[in-house]
Amino acid sequence: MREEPEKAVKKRRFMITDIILIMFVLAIILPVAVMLVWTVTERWAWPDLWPQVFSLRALDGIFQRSEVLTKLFASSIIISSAVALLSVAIGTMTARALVLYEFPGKGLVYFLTVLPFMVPATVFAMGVQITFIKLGLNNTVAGVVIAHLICSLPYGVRLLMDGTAAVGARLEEQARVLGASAGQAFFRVTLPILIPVILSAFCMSYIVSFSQYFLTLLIGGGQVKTFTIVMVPYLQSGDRNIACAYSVIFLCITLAVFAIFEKIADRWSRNTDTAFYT
Amino acid sequence: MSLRIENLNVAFGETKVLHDLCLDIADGEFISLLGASGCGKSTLLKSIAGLLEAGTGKVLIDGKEMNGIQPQKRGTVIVFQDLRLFPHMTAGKNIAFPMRIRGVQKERQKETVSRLLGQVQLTGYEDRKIREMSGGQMQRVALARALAADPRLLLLDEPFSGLDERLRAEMGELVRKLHRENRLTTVLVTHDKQEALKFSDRIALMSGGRILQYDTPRNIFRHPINREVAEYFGRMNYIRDGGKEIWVRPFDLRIIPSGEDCRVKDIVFMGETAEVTVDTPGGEVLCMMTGSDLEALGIAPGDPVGIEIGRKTGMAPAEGREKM
Ligand SMILES: Nc1ncnc2c1ncn2[C@@H]1O[C@H](COP(=O)(O)OP(=O)(O)OP(=O)(O)O)[C@@H](O)[C@H]1O
Ligand SMILES: [Mg+2]
Repeated sequence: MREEPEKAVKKRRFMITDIILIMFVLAIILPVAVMLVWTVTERWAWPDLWPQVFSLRALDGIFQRSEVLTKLFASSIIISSAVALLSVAIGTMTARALVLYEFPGKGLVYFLTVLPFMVPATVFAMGVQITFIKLGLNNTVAGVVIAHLICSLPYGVRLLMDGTAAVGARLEEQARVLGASAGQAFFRVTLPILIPVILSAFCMSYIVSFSQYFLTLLIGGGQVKTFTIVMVPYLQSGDRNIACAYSVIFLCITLAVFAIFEKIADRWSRNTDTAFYT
Repeated sequence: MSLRIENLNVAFGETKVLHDLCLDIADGEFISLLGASGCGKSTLLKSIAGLLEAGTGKVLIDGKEMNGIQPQKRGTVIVFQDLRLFPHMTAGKNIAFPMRIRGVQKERQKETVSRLLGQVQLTGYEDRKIREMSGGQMQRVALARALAADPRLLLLDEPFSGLDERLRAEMGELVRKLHRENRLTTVLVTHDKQEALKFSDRIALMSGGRILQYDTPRNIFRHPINREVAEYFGRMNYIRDGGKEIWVRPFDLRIIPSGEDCRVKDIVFMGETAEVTVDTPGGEVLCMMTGSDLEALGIAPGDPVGIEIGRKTGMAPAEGREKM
């Protein structure tokens, strides 16, 4: 008798989570599936549910240019990984300073890190370009990396601030009295616990960097080519099958990069005798 | 090792938490730190360990001034109130942490971990995850980890609160045994006065960021410097006798059946002990006695009785103790 209401609650919860899960899957899988179909489609006019004409033109085109594309991907991945790594490193330190320490001008620093959230991207890009021209950073990879970094840092800092606040200073205090230096306390205690958050921040920053179009175009001046720079014109010109082929590749590469970094983090945790704290 | 604190002042921003605090702990002593919540006990421990900047004043360990010496170089280990076990390590890894920092050989680490786990009665818990342990088990792991750091001064911030009676007594015994065997200078923060009276060489009672009295258990109970201290360790009767006031603990008052001027007001029987409230011409007094004494006395509320102040119970504040 007494168990029944409990069971009912449990069952309902399952249904709700199931529905959410299904919607989630549909929201992600469906577009991806459509994209996959598009890569081999020549004509797919409304209102048909299935393409009228298939062809391998898009894939052919891409494979023919594979040498150029490999280079393109390599440079894109390197730029975005560099941005993500810098964002995570700077973000971790900034978050620490903002969460754990009191210093004059703290409010201002926080405001500056989240400012890119608030300023429209175009206005921001203009400002950055003018500054970078003066600094001689325009049309350079370094310039693009820094510009992307400014965009992705707010995400990194926000995520890492939450993480740092959750971990707090208490465990480091404990490590200190157990004989650890400040550095050891951070690297052996806080950092391993922060790994999941750091991974999120990394992925976020990576994506933000990888998808920058306008900013890359402006700062890179066409000299620095990234994947997005090459892809966007196809999207705009209506060459949908080529755009979709690019997108699919984009997706695969992103997932691969994330998987690799997760592996690295996992390996690193294991080497330091720790397990993921979930 | 010995510890000496001279006129220590600690403040958080504008609020001063410790005021001109002085404390002297000899090598190998066991000190209990008592005081109401928020009086600054944890703050004092953190200052000793170097986790807080001292405003003014000195902390001396073995005669050496600790100002500006980093926490990891002081040899003072705190077991915190909230334990602070590292959640991403197993129990064994937690205990091995201080040894890993020192670069102790892996084999030695293993041995020490299993020996310490045995000492805290958690043999075989090496690979247990922290979040899969009970509160009491975590407290014991925290203690073992502190010991693995080879402390010169062990600072225990209420590490046994919330343990059940038996385990609490066992852990108390363990701490005392460790103290005896290793001559480990120990400071124990506790809310339990019985524990403090039982275990300590000396007790420091704090209030509002100051030490009210610092003395042996016997003295602090028998010769409290003021009412606050007196009442902290037990009930007290303040009896007007002519022009002066005498302080008498309830157990030092005796009720005699043949009396005229006093009257039994209330009797509370509590098994082993009993409390009797008596109306006297000088006001109400509280007497305590064993349960069997009460039965032998055979009194009931309303009975006329006499009161005798037992020998050596008058406890006027000890002269010249105010300054400690
Ligand atoms: N980081 C801090 N910032 C500001 N005030 C603090 C801080 N830590 C402690 N305090 C204040 O200092 C006072 C003493 O705190 P402390 O933790 O030393 O008390 P305690 O004696 O250990 O109390 P309890 O028995 O409850 O643990 C308290 O009034 C507290 O509010
Ligand atoms: Mg405290």
